[in-house]
Amino acid sequence: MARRRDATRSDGKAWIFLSWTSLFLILAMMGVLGLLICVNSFRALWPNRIEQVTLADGSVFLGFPVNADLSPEGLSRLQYKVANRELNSGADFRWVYARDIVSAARPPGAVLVNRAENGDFLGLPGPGADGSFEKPEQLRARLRSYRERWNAGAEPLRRKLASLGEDWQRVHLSALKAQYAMERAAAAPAKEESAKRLRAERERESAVKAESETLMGEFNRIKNDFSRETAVFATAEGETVVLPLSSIVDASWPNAMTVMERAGAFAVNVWRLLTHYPREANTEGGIYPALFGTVMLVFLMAVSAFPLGVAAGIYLREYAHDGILSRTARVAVNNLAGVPSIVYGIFGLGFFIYGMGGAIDDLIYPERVAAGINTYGGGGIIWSALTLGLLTLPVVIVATEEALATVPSEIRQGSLALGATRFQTLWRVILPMASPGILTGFILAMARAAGEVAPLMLTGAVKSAHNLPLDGNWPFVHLERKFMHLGFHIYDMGFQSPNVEASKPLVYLTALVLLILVFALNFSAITLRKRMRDKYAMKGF
Amino acid sequence: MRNEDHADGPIASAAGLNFFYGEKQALVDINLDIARGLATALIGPSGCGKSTFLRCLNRMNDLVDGSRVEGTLTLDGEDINAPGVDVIDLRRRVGMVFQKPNPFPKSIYENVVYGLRIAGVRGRAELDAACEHSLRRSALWDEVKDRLRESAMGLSGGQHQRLCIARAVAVKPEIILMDEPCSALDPRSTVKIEDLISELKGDYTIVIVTHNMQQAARVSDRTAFFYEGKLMEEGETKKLFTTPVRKETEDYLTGRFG
Repeated sequence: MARRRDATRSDGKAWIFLSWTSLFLILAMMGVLGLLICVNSFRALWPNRIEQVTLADGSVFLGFPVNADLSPEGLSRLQYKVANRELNSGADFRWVYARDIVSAARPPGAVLVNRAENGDFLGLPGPGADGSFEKPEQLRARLRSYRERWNAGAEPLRRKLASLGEDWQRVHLSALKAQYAMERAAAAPAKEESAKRLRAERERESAVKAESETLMGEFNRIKNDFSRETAVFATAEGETVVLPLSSIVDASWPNAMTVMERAGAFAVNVWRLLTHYPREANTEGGIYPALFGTVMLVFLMAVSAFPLGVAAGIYLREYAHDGILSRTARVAVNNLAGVPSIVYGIFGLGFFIYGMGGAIDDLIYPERVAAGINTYGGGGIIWSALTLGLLTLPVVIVATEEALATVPSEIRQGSLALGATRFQTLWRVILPMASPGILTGFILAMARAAGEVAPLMLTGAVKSAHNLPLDGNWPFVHLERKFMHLGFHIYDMGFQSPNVEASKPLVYLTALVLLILVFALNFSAITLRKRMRDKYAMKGF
Repeated sequence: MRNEDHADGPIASAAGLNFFYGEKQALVDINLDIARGLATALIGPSGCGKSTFLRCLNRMNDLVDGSRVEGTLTLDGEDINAPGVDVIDLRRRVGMVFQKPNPFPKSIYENVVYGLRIAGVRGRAELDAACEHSLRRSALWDEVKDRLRESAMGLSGGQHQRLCIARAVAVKPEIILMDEPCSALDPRSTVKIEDLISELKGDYTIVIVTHNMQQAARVSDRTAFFYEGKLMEEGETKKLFTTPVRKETEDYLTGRFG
């Protein structure tokens, strides 16, 4: 007996060590992941210095050093982002052996130009027509004035065109409806009526089209005028490159920046990331639509799943008799929490999109169905939100049940003994007391759903959606629209991109934004729980 | 529902009352009158059915699945188990204080007026007056009058129990049931509650379950002794404690079992 006790004692120590090690490993892995994402995100946003590299064969190029490793032969080599895609036969990056590098300088005049197309441009000041070189301040002033003039002269026109496009879409659809009604009408007067409407719609359609074409012509003329303004640069080899100002998103001279200027540029980069639309197949630009789509998706999901889940949890715990049925329901709910999310996606596609969406389309938009146009019968943010809501339901139900179970039965009886009905007891005493637990469970479920991707790929997330599901066009909320999502964006940029290497920094940044979003949700859960606990604390129990 | 013919008779009376938890019979043929305006103590060893009887009086046993009641139990001459009796109304007439103080996690004020609020009383003045009256009746007013809006959870255990009494008093019941109200309290708080019971009886009929025979002797006018689900003996407290008729009563009172 004594020996046995000794054995357990030493085992105990080993167990403590093992559990400590497990915890440490987990924390270390999380730390490494977080650090990796943060460091790479920082590097992507912080203005790096441009190096001018001269190689042994006499060639010169400009680039940002981004990576270093050993070649299979054991030679040290460096990767540079050289940009200037159209001049380098499509490649943004270049590997060079360290031994080939003769010198690496940082010319203060080196310029980084973010372009609307073809990615970044790296260069040096180029000679103008009269042989003079434009100073950075001059170019910056010119860019600013160009942008002001564009915003005053061309931007309103562009907006008008965009809204005309929406108008045309609407008129086109109502013409389609009139035509459908005419073809289906059996009686002559009804046919006549529909035909009249169709003619009116067609007239409106062509009026909108004509107006749009006139405007387009004017817009193109103005655009043409604007595109005549150019800036001249040179490549490291001395080749002159002329860029129209319209193609320049931003020009900066990172080698000449002070620390403060870099910090400012960093802040601007953060702002651009969060507010700009993606460009060039998501490899450049910002992630605004994806961020917006994710937040709106989570909001819609919360609105749909919370009341349903809480109500179901309340019924199971407070009202359902403890019979076969309620026990089966409970087991089913618990098992639902373990169903792979892609299965929910398939269910969403089959039930929500094809089933409910299809039925809505058949009912309200038969003319669009006949023309092969999906409205609700295709992927949309509402269907994604409902699918995600379904995915979080089990967690919400279980959290609600458990939170209700923690309310002491004395409290229930105290309320009932004062002549309260069960509903009054539930509503006035039990639910407030259970609310911290319910909310915590719900927000954690929400955080999980915010990072979920698989079901969204089937139910409405797309790689590019420039029309947000919430905008200034009637009826403002477009729940049937496809949307962009941070998680899907990561997948798309990282694995579906035509230029994976160029989009790498954005993958890290998107991951960071998604992580921050999820952390913010978790943090708000903790804060909320603390506040609720303070309010409904059960001291003395 | 109140029957004036019974103004002088017992406020509640059980006749041939049997009570079952599923198959198990907890009360056997109880015949007991609860005297109006007096404090009646229910004593007996654990599991003797005294708490069950108490909970029959406001039908809290309804909450237990599979419970069943036979015989009659009347309040002011009305059978409280008759179909059509509103249990909500019954519980307003028969208040209850529990063994473990169970204030709601709300403010002191909200705790006291809870019963009135759920009964649909909305008038600010009425609620304020009821709150002050109830807290005065339960000897808590002076201690809490400056912090009515604060959480009731900040009070001590003894104050919790007096708050629960105030909460029961606020709905103006005819009977207040007390299920071992002092068993979770320290001696000083117990004294206060006992004083309070003496204070309240007369205006309210009080039925108190207690394990503490000194307490029963101190606060009650009449005492009923329960043993193994049966009512053994009932009578004036003084008489029952000094000259018990049944041998079981004497054994219990002298501490031979318990």
